[in-house]
Amino acid sequence: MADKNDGEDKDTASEKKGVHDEEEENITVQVVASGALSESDSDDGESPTHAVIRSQERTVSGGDIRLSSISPGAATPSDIPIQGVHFEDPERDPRILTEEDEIGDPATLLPSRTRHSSRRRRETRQEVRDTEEQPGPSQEGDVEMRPITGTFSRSRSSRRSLRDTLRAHSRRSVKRGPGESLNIMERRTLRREELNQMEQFEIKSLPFCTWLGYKISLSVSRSWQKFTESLKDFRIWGGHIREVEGNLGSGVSTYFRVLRWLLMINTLNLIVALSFITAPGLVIYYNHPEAQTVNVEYNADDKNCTNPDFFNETDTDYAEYGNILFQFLTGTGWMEKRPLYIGWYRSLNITSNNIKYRDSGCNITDDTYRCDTFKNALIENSDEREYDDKRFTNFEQLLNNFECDIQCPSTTQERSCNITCYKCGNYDCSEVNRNTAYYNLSGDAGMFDCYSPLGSEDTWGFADCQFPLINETNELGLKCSGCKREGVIYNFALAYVLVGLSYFVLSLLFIIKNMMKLFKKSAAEIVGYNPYSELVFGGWDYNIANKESAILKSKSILKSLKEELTCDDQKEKFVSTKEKVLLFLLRVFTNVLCIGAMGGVFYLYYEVYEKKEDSNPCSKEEESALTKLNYNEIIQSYGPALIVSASNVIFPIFFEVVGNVEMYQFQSTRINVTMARSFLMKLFSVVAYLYILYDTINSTQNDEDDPGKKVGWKYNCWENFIGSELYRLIIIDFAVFVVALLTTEWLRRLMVDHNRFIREKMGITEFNITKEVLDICYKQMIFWAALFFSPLVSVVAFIEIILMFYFKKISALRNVRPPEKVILNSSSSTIINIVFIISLLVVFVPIGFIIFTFKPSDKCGPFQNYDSFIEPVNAIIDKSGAFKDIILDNLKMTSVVVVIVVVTIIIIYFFYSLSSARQLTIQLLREQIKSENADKKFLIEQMKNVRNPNSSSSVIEDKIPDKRKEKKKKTSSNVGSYANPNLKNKI
Amino acid sequence: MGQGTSAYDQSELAEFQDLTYFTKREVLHVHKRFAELAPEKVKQHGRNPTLTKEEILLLPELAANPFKERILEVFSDAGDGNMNFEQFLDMMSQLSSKAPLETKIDFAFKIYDFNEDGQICENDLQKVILFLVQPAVTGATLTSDERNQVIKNQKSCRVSNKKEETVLTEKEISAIVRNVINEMDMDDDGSISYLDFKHGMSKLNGFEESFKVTL
Repeated sequence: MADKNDGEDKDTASEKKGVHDEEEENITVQVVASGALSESDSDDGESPTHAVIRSQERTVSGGDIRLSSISPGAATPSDIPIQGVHFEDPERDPRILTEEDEIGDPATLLPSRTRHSSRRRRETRQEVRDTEEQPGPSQEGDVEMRPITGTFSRSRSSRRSLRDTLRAHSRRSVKRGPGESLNIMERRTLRREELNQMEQFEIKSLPFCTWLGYKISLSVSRSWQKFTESLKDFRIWGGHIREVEGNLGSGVSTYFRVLRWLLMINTLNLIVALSFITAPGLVIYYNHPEAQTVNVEYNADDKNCTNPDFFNETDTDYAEYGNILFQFLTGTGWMEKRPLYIGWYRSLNITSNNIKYRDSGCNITDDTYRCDTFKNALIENSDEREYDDKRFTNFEQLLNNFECDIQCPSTTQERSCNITCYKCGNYDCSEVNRNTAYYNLSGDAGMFDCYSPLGSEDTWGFADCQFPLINETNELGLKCSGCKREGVIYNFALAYVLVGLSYFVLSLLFIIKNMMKLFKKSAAEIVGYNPYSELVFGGWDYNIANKESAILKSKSILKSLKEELTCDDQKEKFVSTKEKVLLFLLRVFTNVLCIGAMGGVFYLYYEVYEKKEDSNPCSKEEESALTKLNYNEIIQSYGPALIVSASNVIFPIFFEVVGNVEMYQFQSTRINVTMARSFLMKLFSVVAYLYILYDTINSTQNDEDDPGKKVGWKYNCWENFIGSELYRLIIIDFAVFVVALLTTEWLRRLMVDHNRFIREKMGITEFNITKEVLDICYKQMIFWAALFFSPLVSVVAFIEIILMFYFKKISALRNVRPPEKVILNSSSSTIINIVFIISLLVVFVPIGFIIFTFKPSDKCGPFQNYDSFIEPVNAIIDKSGAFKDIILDNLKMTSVVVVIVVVTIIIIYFFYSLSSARQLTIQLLREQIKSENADKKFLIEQMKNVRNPNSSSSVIEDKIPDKRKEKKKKTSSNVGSYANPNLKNKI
Repeated sequence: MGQGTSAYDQSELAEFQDLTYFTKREVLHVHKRFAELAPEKVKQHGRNPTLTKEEILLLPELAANPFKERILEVFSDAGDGNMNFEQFLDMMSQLSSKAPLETKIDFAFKIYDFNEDGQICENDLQKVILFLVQPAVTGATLTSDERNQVIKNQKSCRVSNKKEETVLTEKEISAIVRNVINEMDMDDDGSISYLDFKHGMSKLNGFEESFKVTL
């Protein structure tokens, strides 16, 4: 008790001090009694009439609270119940006091804070009391119950809800209502109150189990929250992006956000590619030496080689470092013998090397069949079927063809196998006679296992037997083949094609997910375009932390405002017919020019490729060895890629010039047209490049004898060829990017720094966000295209994006000024997403076409034994009967591509139409608000008129603005007409 | 959160975490930035000193902002722009990217409502526009005294610059003000009420993105 009094004294003392200070500060606080916190059980003689009344009138000025004070005498006896709320509980006192002690700890806290917190605390506590008191004065017991039930519900709901409410309190609304807009100290006290109540409640009145459950759920939810929050903290490059944001504004940071976003997509691809293709590929490669030899074999009888070095097994050719580097950059030579490309991978289904026939000798107990010999066989490779002779002495069966299945049980103890034989006629295999024989195998030996090309069967299963087999001595045999699978089965070809499709599917899902989020957010935002309020209220970028950027931003706002004003003038500008015709002709001309230029570039690609093909050193022996670095060859191999990349740098500039010539009325139109053209150009160049590659590999097909069959690819491993060409394009593109960065940004900066003339004329480069975003979009398109043919491009993409980010960031902070007009803001993220979806689909169409229809080259890659890339998938569908009927018809067709495209379009369209419907609704509601307001005003005027009969109603009519009257008639004529006569009657 | 280095212990940090939109780590970061503004004061007064407006405005993230003083005035309890760490934390929390749009709109409204009458009237709008273009006109953000000067005689600000393109004329400003009110004013009372503002801002492109200060 002494302890309690001690604390109480401190408490009151601090409060007195608080009141005193507040008076000094000229903030009148309504807390009056020093004993406001004194509980009724305290013995120090504080009168209960020291309770407090708080009037709710708070005047707001600049976020400050001013409370009017009421003298202590004003406290009325009716306030007594307030005290009784929940402070009567003697258990609470020590806790409150310790809390107070904590606050008042002189070692850690300032006196000012003590004062503040005690004041706030008191206020809030009263506020809590007030709110709890509001239902009306009631019996003490009743009152005492209520907080506890309240606490019960509160403590049941997790602490999260408390946090939410507290955070919600941080909203400072304009009119500070009670309970809302508390400042941080007030919220703190509120929180402590709540937590204390929760704690107390937990200890006192909960049954143990409930308490335990509550505790557990609380800790789980807490740790989950911790986890999610730490996830939120972990955002790669956050600091860098913030830095860019601070210096160049949020527009430029969009570019870096897109880069980060692309990094995520490519990381996803990387993970998929490495874990499902490269890692198993390496396992197969190193566990199966025979796979390696098989690999080499297919090159031996090559006629139309492309890369002579490819066939050279020895690595001596590229001993020279220059050559190694050259081949690394071109993606040829030794690179082709590495897992970079599809051709390196083996279609070995089985990762375990325990594939073997066991030694077996067998006896047939049945009269009909007798197995004479059972050849010992050890087969390492399941791809090769080896047939064992099993001879039977039944000559009655001699003339008939049989096919037998041998089924063996899965348990190792039972050594009997089931042989089912089917009688087959010449080519007509119908089940005539079905004999079941027991085929006992003695000892460990003689296990018949299955060979299943897809590896989806059980370890034991069907043996593939053919009957009869007649040897020289007229003995009937059973021809069987089989294998035992042990260990993990991995169907590599299936995995490869699924991963190849999943790059697209995953990326698409990723983009769509992002887009949904944006759509949800911006469904209402798209509505109206209010240029002025956007500039005035949303124009300033609060992220800017740099004086120069601030000036630039301000200038751009000024400029935009001026532009808007002039735009308004221009809107009414009359354009004569002659001018219109001229403008039309001009634009037709420029568009033709653009298309012509694109066609020209396409022709150029083609020509360069032809040249390259002609000069292919394949057949010439002396050139085939790449021992010397051949500069001619460098140019040849890089030529086409260089043209594509260069045209992608040059064309946007060209389009910008064209856009300037076209004399668009609004700057934004010009920018949009330029952007659309550049985008089309990029799509076109990727598709054209792929087409030329297709044309190249397809060019000798006509010479083949059998034109119907797609076997005559010009290249033995055309997948590798495409992969290496795309790889080269990626490398070249990155080189072009670096060169462009160095010249247009660094060099220009240096020139500007050293030359006054240039500084005044040009200034440093403006960061063109649209152009840059389209550029990375183009790069991503090549990544997508190349991924199927070379899985390790995902690594290249990953590294390249990281490098690009840092290069671009360093350069942006030094050499670049923010764009004057920000076209891309958060809402245009939707546009960015759409751009990416379109490019993804455009890339997917040719690649999907290849996957679904092309015949893989039969000399390399995991698909050597298949007729198309999709065949492993079809095979597995064939196998699994359940899905067969449902999926087979749909999935086998190339229409899958179409379906994906259509579904995507439908989803996008759905969201688009949803938002436009909302737009319409919002517009209507807006009209309604305005018209209703006009009505209200009119009514008020009428009311005034009633009071003041001198003014006539016609005057009032005139007071309503004309435009409102029209609107009113239009939108809610019924309301208006009903309002008027009523009031007039009254008059 | 390193031993002995952090000014707040775990329970206090948890408290701040509940009270603001920050995580514990962010709270400590904000405190670090706050302490850097006036190291000697922190040394003298411990971890929660009251810094003056000028000291807080040393923060580069705020210094470049033309509304910087308004922000501080709105957020300090006394309305004079001086604030201690907790107020500062509260302010940064509501300016952070995690704060919901509504909070930001509330805040923005208070900033732009210069005469604090609960309405953004024409005068307020003129001020907003002047503040916005002022860095472009004068080449720098002004101190509070200079700004008061500018606001008192608005013409001098514009006349001081000779180039025609970089100034807004009186007529242009009033045209802009009229246009903004036309766009935003839903209830047709000639000024932008809080509801008007909230409605207008919630559909404004990129407001949420741009209205944030990250330390």
